[in-house]
Amino acid sequence: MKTILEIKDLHVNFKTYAGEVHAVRGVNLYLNKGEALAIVGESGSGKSVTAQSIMRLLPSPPAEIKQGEILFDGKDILKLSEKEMFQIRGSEIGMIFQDPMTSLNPTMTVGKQIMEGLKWHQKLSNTEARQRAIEMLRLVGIPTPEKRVNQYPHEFSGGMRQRAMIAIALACNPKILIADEPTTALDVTIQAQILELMKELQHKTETAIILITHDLGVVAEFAQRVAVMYGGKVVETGKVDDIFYRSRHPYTWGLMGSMPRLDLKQEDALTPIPGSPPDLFDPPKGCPFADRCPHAMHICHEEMPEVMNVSDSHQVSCWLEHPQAPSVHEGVRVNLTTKTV
Amino acid sequence: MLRYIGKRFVIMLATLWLIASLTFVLMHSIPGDPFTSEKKFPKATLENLKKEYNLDKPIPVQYLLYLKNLATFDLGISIKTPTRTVNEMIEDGFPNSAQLGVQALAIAVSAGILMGMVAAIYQSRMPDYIMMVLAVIGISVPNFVLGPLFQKYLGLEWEIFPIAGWGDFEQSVMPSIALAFLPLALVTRLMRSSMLDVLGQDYIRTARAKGLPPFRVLSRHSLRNAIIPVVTIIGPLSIGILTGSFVIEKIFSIPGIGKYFVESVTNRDYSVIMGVTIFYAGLLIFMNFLVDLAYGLIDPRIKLGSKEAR
Repeated sequence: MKTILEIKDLHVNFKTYAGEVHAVRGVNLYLNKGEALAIVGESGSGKSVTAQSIMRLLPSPPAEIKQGEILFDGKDILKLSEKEMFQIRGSEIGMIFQDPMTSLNPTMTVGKQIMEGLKWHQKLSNTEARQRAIEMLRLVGIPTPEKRVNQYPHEFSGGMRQRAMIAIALACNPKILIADEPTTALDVTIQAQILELMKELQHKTETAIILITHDLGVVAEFAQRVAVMYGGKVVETGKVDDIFYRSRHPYTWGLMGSMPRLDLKQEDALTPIPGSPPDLFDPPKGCPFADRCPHAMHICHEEMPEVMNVSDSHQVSCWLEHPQAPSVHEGVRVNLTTKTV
Repeated sequence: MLRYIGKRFVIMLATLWLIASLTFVLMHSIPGDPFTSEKKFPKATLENLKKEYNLDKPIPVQYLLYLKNLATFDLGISIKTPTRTVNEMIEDGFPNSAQLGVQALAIAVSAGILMGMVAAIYQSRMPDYIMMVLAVIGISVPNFVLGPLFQKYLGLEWEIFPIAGWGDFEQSVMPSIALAFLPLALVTRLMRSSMLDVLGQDYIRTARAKGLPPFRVLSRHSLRNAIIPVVTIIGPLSIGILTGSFVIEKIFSIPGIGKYFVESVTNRDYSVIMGVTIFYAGLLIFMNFLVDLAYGLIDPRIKLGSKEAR
């Protein structure tokens, strides 16, 4: 597997009147060609900031990328000039956003919004771009694309708008598609359709996808690999099965516990994680999850754990992995199973 | 669309009638009449004069006569200067006022949009502060101060433009700018806030994510959306400019319509008051109509006469 994108030690801060928010604090990630990587975590964990850093779309000020590298095809995106960035955005890396209701320009036809990128990046003529726009709309499953291409976003339903967004993002055949919570604003039946569509397109076009979500159900269905983020750091990464069946980080356990399950009795079905995420104005020096962690030890509050290899594909940063730490994994697993009826 | 225009036309006529009636009532409730002056007319002369202008008849009859004339676009004869009809006065004065007004409006809207955009793009930086200071000056300095200032510096000291008068284009530059100042400031401020709003919208981020350079994002995505509120105020603004031009016309001695408008009120020159008021009202209504039509062109979400449009 060839690595197409690699993020090394990324730090992003936001300057506000109240002080500096350390939104992303040393994220390491990689993405293989044609792979679907899910980034999960609760609000404020740094998922979206990481994704927007890849596109360099963060407004600056207030955002500032403090240090780190984002290697795309071996080149460091963060060192490129704004002009070189125009060639990458939309053409090499496409992006779709959370709310399709506001992400399309209301005064421009959907067709023109798809054609725009094609004309700019691939220097297509009007008729060629139009042909391609119709093709794209058909590809994302919009019926009668010849007619739809001339319509405005307000004539599209929510699901169709997200399809149109996907068409825009994929129009120039990007190598990577970043989907920032693409289904959050849609209702459940449409969510399934959009995910199905993205999965299908991933196979057809061999685009690598970074899916940002806080919906673990979506992750299980969609991704090959998962990165769990918390407090501006990646706390655990691994293949889907590693995360769902062999997870080693207490936060991941918490996420699993707070996911609705069909096989549990109603009163046991959801176990929330007590407490609230760390204050990123003044991030803790130890593990960000220590304050909420039921297994926290003294060292957890003092020092951030190193990233440890559980297997080749599975990394976790948690002191419980240290040889001297008490073994709690079994206990938790028992705890989970005793709940099962 | 045609049906919509037809409907609007009927409403416009009704509005005009209402304004005509209101003006008539208000005018006749002011004490005094056109012949109230220091020098008393002999009684017989006065009666004859009143008879000549139908002022001896009961007011309801006067009203009906007036409406009848209005329907035939006859605004009557000026009572103070009986050699001229009101129609003639408007024909003489309006083209000058209109040229002045259109030039001022063009300056205000184009420069205002540009300045507002610059201010929004450089929000909280130097260009923004400069634009906003200019806007505050524009709003707070009345044009009867600006006009003479222009005349003193641009006219007398630096001799760039002629001081006053009307006829060639050069003479119209200074009054146009002086007249444009207030609306320019209003448009700048409105454009700035509307642009800031648009720049924060998700679809601008989408456009940037497509890899479009900033100028293209601005010209193709931001401008059209940000301009909608500005279009809204062009209607009222243009009337503000037309009526506000009275002061400017006086300062720069321009033979416009504003002079008649104000003088007629102090003179109780009934037919001129009525005529000019109706004319302005009609213009305002028509401008608003044009603005409504322009909406439909700029914002596809607004469908005029939405019944037939799905």
